[in-house]
Amino acid sequence: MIFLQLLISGILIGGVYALISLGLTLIFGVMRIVNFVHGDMLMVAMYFSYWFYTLYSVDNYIGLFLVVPALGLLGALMYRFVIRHAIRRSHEASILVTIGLSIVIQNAALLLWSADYRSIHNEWATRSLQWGDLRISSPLLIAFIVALVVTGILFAFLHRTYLGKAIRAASMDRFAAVLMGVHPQRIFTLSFAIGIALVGVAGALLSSVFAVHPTLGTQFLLVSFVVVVLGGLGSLRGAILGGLLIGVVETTSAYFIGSSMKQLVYLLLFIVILIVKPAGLFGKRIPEVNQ
Amino acid sequence: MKRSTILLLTSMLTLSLLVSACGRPDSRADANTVRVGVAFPTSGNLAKIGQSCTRGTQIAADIANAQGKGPKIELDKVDVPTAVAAVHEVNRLILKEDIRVIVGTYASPSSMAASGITERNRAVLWEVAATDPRLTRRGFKYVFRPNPDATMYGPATVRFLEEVVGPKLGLENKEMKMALVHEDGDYGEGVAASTKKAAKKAGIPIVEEIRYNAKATNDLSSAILRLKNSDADIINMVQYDTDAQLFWKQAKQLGLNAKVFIGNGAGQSSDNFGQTFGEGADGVMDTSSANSVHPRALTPEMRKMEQEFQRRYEQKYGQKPDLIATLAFSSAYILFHDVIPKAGGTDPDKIRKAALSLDKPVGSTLVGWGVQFNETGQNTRAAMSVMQWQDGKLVVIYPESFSKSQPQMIPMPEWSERK
Amino acid sequence: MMNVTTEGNKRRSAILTPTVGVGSAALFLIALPFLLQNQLYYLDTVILALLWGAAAGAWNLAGGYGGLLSLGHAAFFGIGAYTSTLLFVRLGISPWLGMLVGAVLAAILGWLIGIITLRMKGPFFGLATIAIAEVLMIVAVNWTEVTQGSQGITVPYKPGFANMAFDSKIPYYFIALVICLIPFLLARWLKQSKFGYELMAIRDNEAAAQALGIHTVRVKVGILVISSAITAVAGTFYAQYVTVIEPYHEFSFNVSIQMVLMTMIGGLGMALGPVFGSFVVTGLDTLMRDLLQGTQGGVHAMMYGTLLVLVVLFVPEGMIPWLKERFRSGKGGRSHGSVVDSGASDQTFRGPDGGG
Repeated sequence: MIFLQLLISGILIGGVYALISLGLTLIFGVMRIVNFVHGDMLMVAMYFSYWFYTLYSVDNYIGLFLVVPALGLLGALMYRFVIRHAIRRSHEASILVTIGLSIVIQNAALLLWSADYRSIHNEWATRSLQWGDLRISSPLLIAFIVALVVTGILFAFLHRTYLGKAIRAASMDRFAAVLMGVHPQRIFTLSFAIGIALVGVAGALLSSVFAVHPTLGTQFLLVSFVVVVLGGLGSLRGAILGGLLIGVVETTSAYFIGSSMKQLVYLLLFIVILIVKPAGLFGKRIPEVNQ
Repeated sequence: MKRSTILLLTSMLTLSLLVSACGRPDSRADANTVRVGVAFPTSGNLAKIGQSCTRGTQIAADIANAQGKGPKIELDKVDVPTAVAAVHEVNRLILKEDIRVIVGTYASPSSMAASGITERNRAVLWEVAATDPRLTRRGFKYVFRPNPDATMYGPATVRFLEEVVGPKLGLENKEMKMALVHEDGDYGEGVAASTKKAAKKAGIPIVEEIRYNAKATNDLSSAILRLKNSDADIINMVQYDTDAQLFWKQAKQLGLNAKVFIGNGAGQSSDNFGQTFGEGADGVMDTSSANSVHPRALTPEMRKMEQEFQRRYEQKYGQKPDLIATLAFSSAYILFHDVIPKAGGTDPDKIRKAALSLDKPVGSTLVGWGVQFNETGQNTRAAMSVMQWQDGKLVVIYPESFSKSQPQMIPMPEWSERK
Repeated sequence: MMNVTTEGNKRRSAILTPTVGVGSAALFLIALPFLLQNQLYYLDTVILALLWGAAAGAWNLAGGYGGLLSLGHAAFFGIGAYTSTLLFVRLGISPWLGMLVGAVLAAILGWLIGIITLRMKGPFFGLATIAIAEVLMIVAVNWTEVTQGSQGITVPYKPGFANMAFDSKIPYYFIALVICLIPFLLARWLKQSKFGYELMAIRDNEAAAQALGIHTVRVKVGILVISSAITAVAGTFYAQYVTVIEPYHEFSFNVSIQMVLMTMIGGLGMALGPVFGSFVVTGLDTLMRDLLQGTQGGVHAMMYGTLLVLVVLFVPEGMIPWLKERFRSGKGGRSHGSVVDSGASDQTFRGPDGGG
């Protein structure tokens, strides 16, 4: 029974990681940007959700429909004014620019919203479904289902629509895509906006699970890198499976080895994957980054 | 765009060159004013706590200045998010600003580092928040800590369990199974060590101990499942804000039941805990210095002071003071109201003499402590209390003389029986 | 300090007789702490700037000259700090010896990391190094019997040369200066040695370098080993100067990033770049703290982040080449050294995406 419960808890928290990682992997897949600002955008989304809830009594599940476009817009602006200039240069430049942005955003949040821990306590926040001895946290279950639904929509968008196909084309072979008439800057802006909007979905759903504060992003960033690399940089399916795998690894190792050591387990797993199979478990080879 | 960027960069660089190259003439205060440094982490992940401490200290200075008993106190506030920042800033305060007394610092590594600098430069560190016992055990002359250190938590909790919980539950010491869950930072480790020691002495069995990294933990379900399996009667938590909230949410979701849930300062005593859970926090206890003790335990002066403190704090910052702000206030007030006037300034040796000569009975500070420093600079009358969330408020329930309310919900009803 | 060093340097490259420039710079560096004796706070700033300049300089050897974008150099920094401190506190071994032991341990780790990660390309190497530093942090937190866990270790203050602890700040200054000079001189050596040419050739085009018969793995591992060892030396000095070490700071991502940022700001792949960047950042920090006394924390960190973004976007070669160009535009070409320097750093920045 304990195994089953651990599995369920692992899958639920894994769903959270997957949801956060979707945007990260999309942005990498299309633009080859390792986005260090991703965790901070999660933080910003959670603050938005919190403020909608506190100031206008908008439930965070409804607030989602406000937070997501807002984050998408922020993402587009961020791309137009900052990232675009770095992407022309190199991995190094894009990494460093996003690290710089991350420092700026964290401290701006501190100045704007203070260091208080803010948390939504609505009906859903602490409820759980019971099934015999098994417990399933409702907000995490919702987040998990939404993660699957969002992945489905994203998949359909990327495979069925013209824009989506253009994005995929740009991510596979930028040069050829340009020749085929795809406007790269427009595609990149759109992909970055979608990537950040995806983390907005995560933020809105998680604002009733975690208390938000300016440095919240850092605690999710590393684990989402692990998930994304494990799943294969750029692979949506990989992000979902990687997230679930890391979630289960985390809960079981925390239970059997110790909560303090659980990161050790997934970090070592991460290093091993990087050495043995850098394309990730489900990823394709990416010419620029794999030899 | 580019040109203006270039201009900005150049001007920034030039300015920094100027500042680092030449000393600024200092605006030295006049004879009736003394300057005191205030060093807490007001950015980074401890910012919330650091802010509260800074605010409490500020109100203490405001009140002391309004009383006009001693020299006027002027505060020089700095941000010390890390130990290296603490070294740098304390150096600045002492060497550049010529400040001889510093109130700080909260985080233990910062406190240890800062005290090394103050001691070497013959300046006073008035530590109002850090709990690391090593701070006052290095034979330093100019370190004072009015607050309790980590070793005082365990004995206080165990005494409460023996005197109140045991009889209520009808359990002997050896029948009260206790589980510990604590963050693996300096604070969690220190308090947990003292709890284990005190429990061992009292014969209370520790059936489980779980450590986790508060900064990197997004999920405590495994910890909770282990606690469930341990079948402990008492769950003793040492947690910061976010992890305490996560723990409590998941404890409910996963149906973790125990007869007593007791925290140690920080997480369970934070106002954020009550704000988030409302009545859902009810029944949770917390060993710490008291936020507000029963008026009967206080001197008349302090009874009035409590109201004045709360009024001024709310007026200035638009929110009620939390526990850590209250503690910082109480400890800084001893410095501003008793020590500096008595020393007639901030000369470190005079401060030391004045501090060591204090002999104030229990109840003569806002949080109910007395004050008597021993040679190491540790206050020996820093009394601990146990508080409990009742109807969404944190009230003192132990010891009897401090208590504003009776202990309730012992044993704690199971989640299924709560609303 | 800062303006004169850079001016000294500018003068050095301007004046055609390098010995005069070097001589006056040396004289200045020796006189500086005595000039600042009554402004100890600024001396403290200078010491910290030299310390971070040393660490960033060590990073620059691998990151700037070798093109190895490590984001986990805190691992080596922490090993340096922990090794010397543990040997000193537990066994009474002098930190000077501890410094060497720390450097050797860090070098071994650097070698190991090199062997296992150098095949990784693009962002993978950076991500792997982050993970390695995190792993060491977790080990330092949990191996409490040895490291005292997250409580950290205090270095006992017993002044004396053998203990690397002094009453005055002046000896600290000179130690920091020497440590800072090591990567600086090594970087200059790289620019005129076979090893250095091989290294930069690999950075600029690994396949071509390999085709020329350069043993690429050996060269890359070699530079990582050197870089790790020097970072550890800086770590030991940090422990002795700050006197408190704790895993959550010493092994932190912030420490790793600081080395990268300072180098970027000054100039990637330039000997003086990291030192210059360190002085700009530390000086700016001092300035912001002076200006913003009492205001809420966070403002200076924001400036720091903004500066980084601006530099990477608008002066990607770093501030030194940019300043040189501005102050000397129209006056003919650059000095020989800087041609190699900035040409090389441009190369580093032309990532795989440059070509599409």
